[in-house]
Order: sequence, then C-alpha cells, then structure tokens
Amino acid sequence: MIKDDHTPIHIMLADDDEDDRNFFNDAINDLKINNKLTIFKNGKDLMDYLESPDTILPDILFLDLNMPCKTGNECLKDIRSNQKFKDISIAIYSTSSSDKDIEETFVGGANIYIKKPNDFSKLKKVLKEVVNLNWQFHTSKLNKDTFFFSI
Amino acid sequence: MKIKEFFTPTLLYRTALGVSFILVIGVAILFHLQMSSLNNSVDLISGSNKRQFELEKISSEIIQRENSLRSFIITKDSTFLEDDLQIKRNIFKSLSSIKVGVSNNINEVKAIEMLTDLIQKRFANFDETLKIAESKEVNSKILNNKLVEGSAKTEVLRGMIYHLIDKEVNKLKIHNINHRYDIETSTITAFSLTIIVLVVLLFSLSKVNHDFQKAKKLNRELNFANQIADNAERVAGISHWKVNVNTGKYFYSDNFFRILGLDNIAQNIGPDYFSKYIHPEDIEEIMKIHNDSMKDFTATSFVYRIIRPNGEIRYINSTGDFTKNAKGELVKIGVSIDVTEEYTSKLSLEEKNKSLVSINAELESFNQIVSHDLQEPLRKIQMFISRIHETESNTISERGKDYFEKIRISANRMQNLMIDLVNYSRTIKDNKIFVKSDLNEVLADVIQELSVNIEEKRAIVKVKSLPKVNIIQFQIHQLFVNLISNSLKYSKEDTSPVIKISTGKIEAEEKFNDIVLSDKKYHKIIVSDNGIGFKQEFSEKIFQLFKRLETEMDYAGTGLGLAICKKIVENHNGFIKADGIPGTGAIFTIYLPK
Repeated sequence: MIKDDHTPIHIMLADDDEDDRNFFNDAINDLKINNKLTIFKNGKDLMDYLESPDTILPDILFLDLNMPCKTGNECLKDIRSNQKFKDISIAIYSTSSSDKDIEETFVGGANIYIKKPNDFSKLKKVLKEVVNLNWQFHTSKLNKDTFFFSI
Repeated sequence: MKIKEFFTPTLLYRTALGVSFILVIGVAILFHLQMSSLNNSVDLISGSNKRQFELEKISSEIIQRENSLRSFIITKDSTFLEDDLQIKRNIFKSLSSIKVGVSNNINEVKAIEMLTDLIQKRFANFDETLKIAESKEVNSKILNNKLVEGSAKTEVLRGMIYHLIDKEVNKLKIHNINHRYDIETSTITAFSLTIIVLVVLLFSLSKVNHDFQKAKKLNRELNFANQIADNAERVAGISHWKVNVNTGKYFYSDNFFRILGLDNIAQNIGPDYFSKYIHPEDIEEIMKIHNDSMKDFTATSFVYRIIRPNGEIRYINSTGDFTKNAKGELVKIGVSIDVTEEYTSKLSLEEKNKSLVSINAELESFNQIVSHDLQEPLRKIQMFISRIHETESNTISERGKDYFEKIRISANRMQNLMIDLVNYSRTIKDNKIFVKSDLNEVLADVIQELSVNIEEKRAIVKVKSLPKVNIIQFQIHQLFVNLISNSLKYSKEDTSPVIKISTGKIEAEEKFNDIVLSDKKYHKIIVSDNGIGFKQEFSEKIFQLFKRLETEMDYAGTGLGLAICKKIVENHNGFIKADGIPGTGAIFTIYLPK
C-alpha cells in the first residue's frame, strides 16, 4: 500500500487474546510508521463496526481465526460477500498453520496468511513487511505458495 | 451315468424289439397256415379212407345179397330175404356219403353215377332172379341164365368198385406224402418259433437283468452321493429344504434337525413343527417373509435366531428360491446355514471397528491439542522471553540472564518436539494418496525449505539424478527434511558438512531382514554425510521413538525424526537402514518399491 507520509495507514486487528493484542499494539508502535490502529476483541464487534454506515474502512485487516461469537472464517466470508469491503486487504493472523485452515482462507478470499511468530523481533519484522507490502503487486501474482507468508 | 439317459431306451434296443415282434407274428401266422393245411390233408386222408371203406362195404353188401338170394333159392326159406331192404338202404346210404365226398370232382361224380347205375342194374337182376325163383314152376334153365347174368353183373360191379378203390388208394398215397411234408415243415416252423420266442425271451430277460443291475448300481451310487451330501452338510453346518408349491409338502435334510439340536429326524412336517425353536422376536417376521414369497414366488434371504432345546442361541442364514422339478411343478428350494460363528465375530468386529473409530477420533483431537492448543501458551512463553530479552536485559543479573537462556532453549526444544509429534501422527493417518513424482523436484523443495539451516552450517548438499517414484509426496518430503536435518544436526563442528543424495545399484545378494532385494523391484537411494557418525551397534536403535544417541545439548534432537523416517518408508512398503562409523559419518539407505 503506497501512501504518502501525511495520510496515516489504517490498520485493524480482531483478536480475542489480550496478550496477542498487546504484542500487536506494541509491535506496530515500535515500527514508527504513520498509522491508525483499531483493535476489536472479537469478530462480532468487528463486523458491527464495519457495517455501521459512517465507518472509515481500514486499509489492512488482521484477522485471528479462532474467536468466540464469530470466527475469523465467518468474518472473512461476510466481508468478501459485501462489495463495499472489496478494497480491504485481509491478513489472516493465527497460531494454526494447518493445511486445512490455509486452504479454507485462501479459497475464502484472504490476501495473506501469517502464522503468529514466537519471537517479538520476528513479529515486528513480519508486520513491517506486511504493512509495507505492495498489495496490488502481491494480489496480482497471488497463489497458494505466496499466500502463506514466510520471512 | 445320468438317470435320464438310463431311462431312455436306445434306438438299437427299440429296433431289436420291433424286429423280433414282427418275426414272432410272421412265424406264428406261417405256423397257423401250415396247421390248417395239415388239418386239410388229415381231412382228405380220412375222407379217402371213408370212401374206400364205403366202397368195400357196398361190395360186401352186394355179395351178402347174392349169397342170401342163393341161400333162398336153395332152401326156399324166406328168412334169408328178411334183410333185403336193409341191405339196399345201407348201400344207398354208403353211395350218398361217397357222393358228398367227391362232389367237387366231375370225373369222380360220373364214376359214382356209373356205379349207382351198375348197382341198380344188379338189383334189378336180383329182383328178376327172385321172381323166377319164387314162381311155382321153376324154369331152371332161365334161372340158371339169370344167375349167370347176375354173376357177370356182380363181376362188372366189383371191377368198378375195385377201380374206384384203387383210385382212392392212389389219392391216399399222394395225401400221405403231402401230409408227411406238412408235418415236417410245420415241425420246423414250430421249432423255429419256439427258438425265436426263446431267444427273444432270453434277450429280454438279459436286458431286464442288465437294467436291473444298472439300476441297482445307480441306486447304490445315489445312496452314496446322498451320504456324502449329508456328511458335507454336517461338516459345513449347511442344510437344505424344499417345498412343493402345488402339494404344500415340505422336505428337510437331516442336518436341518442337527443344526436345530434335534436328535429325531421327522418327515412329512411343515414350518410349524419348528416354530417353537425359532427365537420369539424373529418368528413373526420370517414366517411373513416366507409366506409372502410362497404367494409371489420371489427369492428370499434372511438371518434369524433359533433356540436349541438346550437353550443355546444360534444364528441361521436362510436363502430360498423357486425352480421347477422333473414334473414341471414349482418348488421352493432353500439352504439354511449356521452362521453363528461368522455372525458373532462380525458383531465383535463391528464393535472393535466402532471403538477404533472413536480411538481415531480421540487421536485426532489429541493431534489438535498438540498442534494448536499446546503451541498457543508455548508461543506466548517464547514471546515474553523475547520481550524480556529485548527490554529488560540491562536490569537483571547475569545469573538471571543465564536462567532465561536455559528457559529459551527448553521452550524451543518443546516446540520442536510438538512439531515432530504432529508430523509423526500425520504419517499414521490413512489419507495415503500415491502419486508418481520426480524425487529431484521433491529434493529441490526440501533444500529450499532448509536453506537457512544449510547456510548457517555452511553445508554442501549434492543431489545426483534421482528416479521418479510412486509416493505420498508430503511424506517423502518430510523424510528428506528429517534426514538432511539429521545430518546437519550431527555434523562435526570443525568441518563443513557434505551431504550426498544419490541412487545405488542393488547387489545380487542384498537382503533386508531376510527379504531378497533386486533392482527390478526396488529403487535404492543413499543419503550419506561426513558427520559424527555412530557406533554400528546402534543402527537399529536410532529408528526407535524417543531414542537419542547424543544426550548433550549441542545436538538438540527430539528423538522423533528418524522414527518418522522409518514410519514413512514403511508406509511406502519400503525399507530403511543406517550404517555409521563414529567420527567419519553416517549412511542412510532407503529402498522404495518400483
């Protein structure tokens, strides 16, 4: 996403785990990029927010899969079935790296799949790369191999 | 010999029977004709004899008349003339009987008429002579003349009679010859008739005897076959039964009773007889199925339970279908098999299968726990360690830093262990899809995946051209990842690792656990390194779960990697072996079926 320095990049995260939300928040802050971060505790809050009429839509949405009320997969399905959200880039952000989850979200229309790293410096590295990704270029040559993000 | 063949008379047999029948009838007719001809000749002979007799009687009666006349002339006693009329009557009676006998021969009729004429003339002479003799004055001269005349007439008459008798004698001779001929031929005919009848009788008798012997043999064979069938049924726990749809008559083989545990074999009984042995829960249904099939003539098949008199429950599989018997009547034939053992083992198998499915499901959820739920907190531990390391390392003591380092290594080990456990469990699961794949491509992916590690260790990985093999791709990928990781892990510290992957030729006598291997059946793939190696005595142990040879922290293995390799190769019906020389290196040899 190429943005000029004056417009902050709008990042959203939906994750039910408090620690993970904190790690994410800290990592984004450490990156020192001009951003606006909105964090939701579950899928339902996220969808309620997105669907309200005067919402400013995010540039990138980080979506955890295993959440109460509404799972990441259900959110993905709802977002991709709504024309209004077609410009949102969706990054799956999950502990799981099972073939089943990767396959499902790829077919479901996610743009990238990130396995949650077990090292904070690695997390920062991943987020930096993803936030600065040229989404147009990435999406145009997206396949199953490039879908699963690895550094 | 087939029964039908036996009861169908051959053409030869039928022809022989027909010919002998015609022969007997023909000879009998011939014999009958000959007998009537014999009768005829006997009639002819007796007729001839009778005429001869009558002629002689006439001659003697004439002489008698002459004599009595002479006696009267001499004695003048009229009593000599008393028989006169009777004699005359006798003569004419004889004449008429002769006439009847020769009525069909004109010459003879004429001769008889001549004779009659002569006789009448003679009698006229008698009367004239008598008249002269009776007159009071007897003119002896006239009388003498008359008597002489009479004698002459008698002579003529007798000559005629003798002529006729001669004729009859001649005829008789011919009749006798004919008669003898007839007797001879009819004797021959009668004899041949007897012989023919005798031959036919003997032939029939021998045929009947032969057939009887054959029937006896067939009967014996049939009995034997029945006995074999009964024994076979007994051994196999099979029985059969049939019911004639027209007559409603049932038949049950002996073993049917044995299967039911009954000692007495009863006949002329129906299904009702057995109803008390059938399980009360099954009886209604099976009787309905059977009765319905008897109405619409469809095949049946069902399993039901019986209760033997001793209380034992057995499972019976009964199948029945309709066919026509020799008479063309519809018959339902059924086979009842004691399937108790099969049925119970099937039930227990189903039971085991169910528990296996639930065990598999549990294993699956265990996998889920290991691969996701356990990794979650571990990941956080690692995350916090990394944060403390980043931000708090200045404020904690050296000892604290040391402890934190140990916590980090342990957490990393635990993570590796869980990854390997998941990998191992993935090799057990049954989604084994074999695809013909180029091992060179698989190896290229593996090297790509391990590139960070390879670079870190400054290792050289050499791959010589590998074959295409029918494999479960992700498993073989895992196999090479594990083997190369293993070589990298157990490399010597002062030497840069060299790992070679190549194919090898299978030697003539090469074996694996007594299984002879050959190039025709197997690919041989060798992975060798120049690492620390191992003692040959451990070559089997290293493939066992959680068996690690090196215990030092330097070599951070999980003890699962090579066990996974073994499992994968076994999944491909192949073999893997390890050879090691301590301080020189290790060679892993993999045999995969072609």
